[in-house]
Amino acid sequence: MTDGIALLKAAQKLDEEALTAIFDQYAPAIYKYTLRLCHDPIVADNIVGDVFAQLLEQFAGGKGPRTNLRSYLYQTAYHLVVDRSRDNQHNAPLEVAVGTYEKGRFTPTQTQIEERVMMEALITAMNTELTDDQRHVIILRFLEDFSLKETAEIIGKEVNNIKVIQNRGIAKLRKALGLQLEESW
Amino acid sequence: MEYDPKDTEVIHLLRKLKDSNGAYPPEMLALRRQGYLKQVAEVSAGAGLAVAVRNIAKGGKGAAGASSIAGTVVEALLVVAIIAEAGAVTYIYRDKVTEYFRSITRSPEVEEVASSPVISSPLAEMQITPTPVFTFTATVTGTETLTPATPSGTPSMALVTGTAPPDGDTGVDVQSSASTSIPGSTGSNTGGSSVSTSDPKGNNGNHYGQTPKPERTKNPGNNSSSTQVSSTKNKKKP
Repeated sequence: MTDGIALLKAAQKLDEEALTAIFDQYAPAIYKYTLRLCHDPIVADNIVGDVFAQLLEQFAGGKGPRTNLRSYLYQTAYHLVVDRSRDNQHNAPLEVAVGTYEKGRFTPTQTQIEERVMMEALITAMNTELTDDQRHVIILRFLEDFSLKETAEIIGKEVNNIKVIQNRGIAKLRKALGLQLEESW
Repeated sequence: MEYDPKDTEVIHLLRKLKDSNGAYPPEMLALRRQGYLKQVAEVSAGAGLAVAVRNIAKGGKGAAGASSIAGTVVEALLVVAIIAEAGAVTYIYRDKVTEYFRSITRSPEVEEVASSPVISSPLAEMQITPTPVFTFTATVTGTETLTPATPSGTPSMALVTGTAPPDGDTGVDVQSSASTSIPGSTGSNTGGSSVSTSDPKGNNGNHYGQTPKPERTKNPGNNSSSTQVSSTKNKKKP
């Protein structure tokens, strides 16, 4: 945490090493998060570029985050994704986003087959059953490991509201998984 | 945060999905990083100059960040900028500057003020005579008799003109007014101020009907005219 604050202070002074270290530390995570939301590797890459360009502009103008850099970067990425989704309604299936999900590299065991079926059912449910807010909260909470408070800051809602959104999302996924698993078996 | 036991399986799946998600492709990441570093270099260069200016403005309080070389460079840049701006302003307003210097160096001049020539209007000098009025004057001539006599006489018409005396002439006489000047009627009229013709003092010049008769060169008693004489002379010669 102390290192993060020191890095942030150095970056506010436009120290090149600090700015480079921030990119190396957060760019892959931002890309992954953006890819989950927009489902397009090219768009995700462009959004990563925009996120860090905005960060530089903020630092150059004497602004920018003072405490939580990670949350700030995800928040910027979230807004950029939302803006792009308003302009372009293109939504690729989430399978694209999880393209590196290991498929058939080895001869699957029975457990692996079951797990894969469950995973595909989960992805389908996330794409079809959840609202945008629910999907964002689920991704931030369980795939990016943000706390409720951080998620609330990124989404721009109250913590209690985030709790409600999360619980409803999980309930929908559970229900969808149960139905899909019942259908598959 | 504790979750509902029913949701444990869903959350477990989500955690697995997190681990299995895709990473940034290395080529794409390298290109993006390169572009980012370029932006960082540009921003840092601009920020260095800004910091130097800020430190100079603070009077060297925060001089730790700015080197003396940067301060000198900024100072030189400011001087050059001021000179360039002054040159541009001088060039733009060169006419006004020239006029200003001329007004300073020029000695005072005394200018003679001449009154403008007064041009009398010909209309002011013109005396407009009233339109000719025909007056009917009856001259009665006769002798006193005991018996009332009917007046007899010959009426005569005379054109009464402005100021010209009738010159003892009876009958119809058309005279031009002596005081009336008509542009073009006199030979010396040049279109300038009109000068009224002088009083003819009884000499009205040659007018129609007033041409003096030529003197007789023939002996008295000869009734033939001079033209007849010349014609007879011409007849006699052959």
